[in-house]
Amino acid sequence: MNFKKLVFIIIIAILIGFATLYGIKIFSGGDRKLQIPQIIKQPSTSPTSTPKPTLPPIDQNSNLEGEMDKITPTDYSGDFSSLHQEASQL
Amino acid sequence: MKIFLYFFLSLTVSFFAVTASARTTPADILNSQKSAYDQKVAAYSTDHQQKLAGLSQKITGLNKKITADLGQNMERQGQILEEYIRRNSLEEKSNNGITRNLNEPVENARYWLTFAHEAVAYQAGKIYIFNLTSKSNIKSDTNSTITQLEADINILNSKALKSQKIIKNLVTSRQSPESR
Repeated sequence: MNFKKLVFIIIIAILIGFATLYGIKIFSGGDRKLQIPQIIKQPSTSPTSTPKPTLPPIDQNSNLEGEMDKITPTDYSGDFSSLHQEASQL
Repeated sequence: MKIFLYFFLSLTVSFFAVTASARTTPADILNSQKSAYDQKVAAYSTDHQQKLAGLSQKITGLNKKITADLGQNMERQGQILEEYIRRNSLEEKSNNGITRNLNEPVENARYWLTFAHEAVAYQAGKIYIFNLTSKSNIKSDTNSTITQLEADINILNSKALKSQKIIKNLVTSRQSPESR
C-alpha cells in the first residue's frame, strides 16, 4: 500500500464518518438547540426585598480596610427555608 | 486481502471521526434533562405542574438575586484592590495567562479575585431542572434541587470570602496612606 492510497482511504473514511453522523442527525430529528425551558420564566422582583444602598466610590480618601469590612455577604437562609417549605407542601 | 484491509482501516478512521464529532456538550446534557422533565411532568396533575413551574421560577430568581449580590461584592473587592495598587504605585507584572507567581501578594490577590468572580458568573448562568422520579417523590425531588442550589451557593460564598480575606490581608499588611 503506497502513501497516496493510504491518504485516499483516510479521506474517504472521514467522509463516510461525517456522512454517517449527518444521517444520524437527520433520522433523530435534527439538532436540538438549547432553548430556555418554558418552566423557567423571567423571575419577578420579590416584593419584600429592599434595594441595596449604593456604596460611595473608592478613591484616595477611602479607608480600604474599612471598606473591605463593609463587604458582608447577605444571609439567604430564610429564602432557602421558604423554598424548602414550599416544596414540602407539594 | 488488501480490500479487506482497506475496508477495516476506513471503518476505524470513520469511527474516530464520528465519535470526535459527536461528543456530548453541556447543552446536550441540559436538553436531555429538560426532555426527561417534560416527559415526566406531563403525567402530573395540573395543580402540581403549576406549583412545580412556580417553584422553578423562584429557584431561578433566587439564584439570580444571590449571584447579582455576590457579583457586586466581587466588583467592590476589585475596586479596593485597584485603589491599593494605585496608592502603592505597584506595577502588576504581565504574564502569559497560564503561569502565575502566587508568592507575589498582589498577583495572588488578583488570582483569587478573578477565580471567585468567574465562579459567580458561572453560577449565574446555571439552570436548575427538577429531576423527577415519581409522583410520590415530588417533595424529595424538588427539595433535592433546592439543596443542590444551596450547596452551590455555599461553595460560591466560600470562594468570595477567600478572595475577600486575601485582599483584606493585603491592604492591612502595608502601611498605606490613611483616609484624611
